[in-house]
Amino acid sequence: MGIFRKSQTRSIQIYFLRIFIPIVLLVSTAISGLLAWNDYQVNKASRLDSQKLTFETFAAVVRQPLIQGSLIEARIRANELAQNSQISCIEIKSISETIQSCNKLKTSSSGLHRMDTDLYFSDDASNWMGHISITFDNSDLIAGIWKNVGKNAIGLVLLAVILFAGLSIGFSRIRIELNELMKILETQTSDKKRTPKFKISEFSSLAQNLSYQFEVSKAAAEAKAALDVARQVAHDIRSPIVSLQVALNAAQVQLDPTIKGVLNHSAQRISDIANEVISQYTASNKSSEGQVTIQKLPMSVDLALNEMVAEKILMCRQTPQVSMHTKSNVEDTFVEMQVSDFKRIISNLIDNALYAVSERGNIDVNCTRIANECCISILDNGSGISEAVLKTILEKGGSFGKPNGKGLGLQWAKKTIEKHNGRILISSQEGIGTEVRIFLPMSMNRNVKVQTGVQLSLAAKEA
Amino acid sequence: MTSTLSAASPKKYGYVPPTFPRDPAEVNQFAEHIVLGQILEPMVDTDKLGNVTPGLAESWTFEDKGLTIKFKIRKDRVFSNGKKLEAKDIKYTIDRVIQKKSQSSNFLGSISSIEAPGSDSLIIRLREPNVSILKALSRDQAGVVPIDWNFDKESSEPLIGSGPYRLLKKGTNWNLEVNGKFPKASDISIREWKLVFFADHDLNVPAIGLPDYVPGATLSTKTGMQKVSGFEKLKTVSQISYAQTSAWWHPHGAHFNSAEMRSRAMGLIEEILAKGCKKLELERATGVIPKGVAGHLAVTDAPKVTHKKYEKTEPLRLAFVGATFDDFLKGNDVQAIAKEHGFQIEIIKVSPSEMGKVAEKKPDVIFAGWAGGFNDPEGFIALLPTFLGKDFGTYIGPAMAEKYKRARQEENWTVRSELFQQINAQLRKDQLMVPGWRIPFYIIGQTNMISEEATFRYTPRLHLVKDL
Repeated sequence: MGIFRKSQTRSIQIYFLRIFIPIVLLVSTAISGLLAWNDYQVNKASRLDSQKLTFETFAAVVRQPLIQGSLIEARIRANELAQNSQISCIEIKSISETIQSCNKLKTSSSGLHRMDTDLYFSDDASNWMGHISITFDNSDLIAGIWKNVGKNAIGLVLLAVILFAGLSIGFSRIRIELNELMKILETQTSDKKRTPKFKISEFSSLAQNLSYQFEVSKAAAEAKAALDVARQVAHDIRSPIVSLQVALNAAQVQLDPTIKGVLNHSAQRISDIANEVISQYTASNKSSEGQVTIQKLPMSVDLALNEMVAEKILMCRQTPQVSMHTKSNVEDTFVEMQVSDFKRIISNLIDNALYAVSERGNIDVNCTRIANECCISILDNGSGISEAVLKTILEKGGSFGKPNGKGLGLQWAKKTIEKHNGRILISSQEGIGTEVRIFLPMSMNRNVKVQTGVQLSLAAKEA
Repeated sequence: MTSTLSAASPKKYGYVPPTFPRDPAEVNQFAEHIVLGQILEPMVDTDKLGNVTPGLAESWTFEDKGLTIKFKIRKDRVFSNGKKLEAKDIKYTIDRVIQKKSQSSNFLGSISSIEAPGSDSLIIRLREPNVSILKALSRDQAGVVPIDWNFDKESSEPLIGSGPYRLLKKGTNWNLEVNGKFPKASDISIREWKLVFFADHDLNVPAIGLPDYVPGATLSTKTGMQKVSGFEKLKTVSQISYAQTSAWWHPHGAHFNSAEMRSRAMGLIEEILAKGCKKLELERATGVIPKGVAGHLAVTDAPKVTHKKYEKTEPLRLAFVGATFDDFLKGNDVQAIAKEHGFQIEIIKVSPSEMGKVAEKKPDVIFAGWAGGFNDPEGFIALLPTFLGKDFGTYIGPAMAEKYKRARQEENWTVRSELFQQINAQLRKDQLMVPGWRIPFYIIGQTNMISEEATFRYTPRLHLVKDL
């Protein structure tokens, strides 16, 4: 199940120990060889210059004894020069005899450098007097190459040992941490108590990312399961809601028109919610990335808001001490949002306000245009929210006051509004009240057909 | 070009000894050797460092372990009388130098025979190996003359050679004129020299008219020239010098076999020379071989001189050769110093031309100054019989004579140098010789004629002097 198995981990070690180190050694050896060869060439050039000077000096030194017939002196001078370790052989020949011969060379021919010249009585080289040659032994230079290569080889072996040791120690740590990563991968979870502290920052970061991804996946799976349930509920309530609507239509003579409108609207809203749950479920199944596709059809803010306020005013009849007022100057103002989402947001926020004022209080729902935005304000004079709570109320799970509140309403509202490029602001003071303001960008597209939900709402209002 | 140069007035060359010209075999003055070197060419030559170079012989080989030397003679040399120079001329010259017991014969004693099998082939055979034989043959006195030639003092050209100049008599003057048969004679800058002679036989007094060019001038010559008007316009440079003085316990003296007398007398000479050199600020010599030549002693190791009280004085005859010692004697009360050593000194002055008669004068000590003639220790030892009137080997005794023989034959130049050093030191230790002082030489002449090249050679070559 794990991505890295032990056998594969070893193969990485083999990669470094069997391929990387030999490459390092080969490149180092090649460089070392080139350097040794370069040293040889430089030393050889210098040596040849020096030997040329030695030879020229010897030619001058031995010339006079030869001219004066002091052959022994010439030989003595040659022998003195032959003490030079670089000289393998000296030959001197006069007109009449060989004065110094080269019987045996000290070394093989590979390192020998021979220089020779004729000697003359006169400086104008007109009268030949003899011939001298010196054979220099430069085999030590070639030996020097191998000596240098040998020295470098020892260095390289030491380097290889150090590399081997260093990489082995490094790999043991990598292997330990890879094993831990494999455990995380295999279990798809991380036991923070058991997981060792990673020393390699990349592995530590990877482990954190894996843990986070696993948690997200888990949450996604849970969300999907919840959606499955919601879909089933939505599917199952569609039939009784249709029956309810038919019954309401049939009973329209007996019911107060306002109540009838509210009932119609509520039934319609439940139907919209159910339809939306089903459509979201379908969309999430079809989306390759599992993301809900944002539908950006324009809807009339004025109509949707009036419907919701009317519904909530009807609800307020049971609590006469609570008054709700609405004021809007945003006729023909459209925002690109699903009408059911909009209504759910407004419904939740008015419910929160009703809860805050409890049995007595005022709730004002106003809608205005500010520049290119539509601003909906829900203001109550209820109990208000403490400063500490206010800071976290829009975060996930933030809730205030409601006995069974999970905080999902506000968190969901914020997420949905922001998806539509809007924003939500809450200001509150304990004992004074709370104001929630929603800013949504106005739609510039007026030629599109408005959402069905709005039309249904209009029909319900007219009715 | 040549005619223009010929038409120019001759330059004056000085100084020439009054004895000149004479038979080259008789020449024994450094100043005469210099003039000979302009007229005659030796078989081999030397460069400014004393190294042997080809002369009339263009090449040679040593055979029979150095006992035979075969020379190949140049074919391009012609004597001033128009006769082509051949090997037989060289044979005649060397034989003549030896047979006439010239100064140079002392250096050529190892030659047993000379053959001239061809016009350009000469063979010299030696009795014993002689390392310095080539240097000895480079002496100006051994310059080649035509076969059967003899010196004729009455001739207008008494010396016939193949050198760059001819010696010609013009009226009462002797002139050196370019030898047109000399190779590249047209390149010689100064076409004619008029010879200027010393005013006395002791080579001490320069002539009144100052020469244009004076090589080999001694300190006394220079001092004499300074008294003549016009000297201030001349330039003086030091010339290489291997000349020095020394005093020798003479084998013909009355006390030669007395070790006690020798010790007393040579102790006195040590004191005289030490005081004199110090007073006159002369550079002291260290031995018989001068500084700069292989075999010379690095330091003077003078025997300790002790003073005793002598009731009566013994006569001591001191011979002084040439004018070299005149200035030295002037500044020292030699007689007073001698008295402290129990001697009454008698001074005998000997002219260089009278060297052959020194033995007859029976001096106890002879003072002489000389140059070896070539850059070799043998050049200073072999010349001694001229002063001592006795074979050097006999003079120094059998033990040192054997060492001297080895030194002549030793081909290892370092060992040879050491042997000569030992001989040198032994002469000092045995008090046979007391070193005198180094004789400086100068070239004095017109400013535009003094060139560095001319100053290097021991006997300068006039054909290299340029009239710039």
